[in-house]
Amino acid sequence: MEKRAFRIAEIATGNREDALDILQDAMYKLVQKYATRGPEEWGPLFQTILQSRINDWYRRTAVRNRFRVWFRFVAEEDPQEPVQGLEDKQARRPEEQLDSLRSMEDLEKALRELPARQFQAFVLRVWEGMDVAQTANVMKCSQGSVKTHYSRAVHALREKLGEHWS
Amino acid sequence: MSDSRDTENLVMHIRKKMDEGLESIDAATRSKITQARYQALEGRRRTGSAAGWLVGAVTSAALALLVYIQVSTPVPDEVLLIDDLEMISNIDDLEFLEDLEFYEWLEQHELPT
Repeated sequence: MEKRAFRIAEIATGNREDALDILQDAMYKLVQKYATRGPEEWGPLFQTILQSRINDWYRRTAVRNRFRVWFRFVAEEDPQEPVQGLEDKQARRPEEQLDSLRSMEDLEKALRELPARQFQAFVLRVWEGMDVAQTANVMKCSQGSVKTHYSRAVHALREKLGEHWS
Repeated sequence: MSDSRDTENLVMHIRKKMDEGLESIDAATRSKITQARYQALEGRRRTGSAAGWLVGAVTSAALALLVYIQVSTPVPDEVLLIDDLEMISNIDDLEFLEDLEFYEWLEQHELPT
């Protein structure tokens, strides 16, 4: 569960360290607040906390980016651009199945580009194996909303990933 | 129908890919994930230790208070002992004490007046 949770956070944030912080925070919160609950509740509770932490990260990043854009507008251009757009070399390992690696990268990119709610609905339904009701509980929305987000996510992924994924 | 099958295939393919992605997590990251779990549990144990310390502190404080109350409150036996000491230290009274048995006997066998 922890590895899946880490991967969900990593795909959502695109950053390994942020993902680890989110994961640790979620686990800590689960233990602090819900240790006395039954084991059957831990999974959905943990996912609720995890998704909440990811949403917090989205909000913080949006604020940070708005500030950064504004600051870049008023300040002089710095020739030393941050390495934001640079590829992470560690993500590319010399492997025999390079196609497999690239398709994983394509998938991650496609998932990351989904709107937050669509991403959540998709990973919870497809990867965590939650049904519509459980997903609605975690996402704190109606079951109808879950179905809509999920359907749109699938449609978007099919368009982004192309026919060879079907 | 075909759309539905395509969707199912797509979803299955994605799920498989994401499962494979779990295997690609490097050892350092796996170690950090395990560490994060233990740290979360440690956080819980630290809370438990703090509660135990608090219980110990409260108990000690209660015991200290009890001892203080015991010491502060006059104890009749001690007072009597102190009085006895005063009585014993008085030489005049000492003679009375020596004759105490006689005076008790006298009281028991008091002659009618």
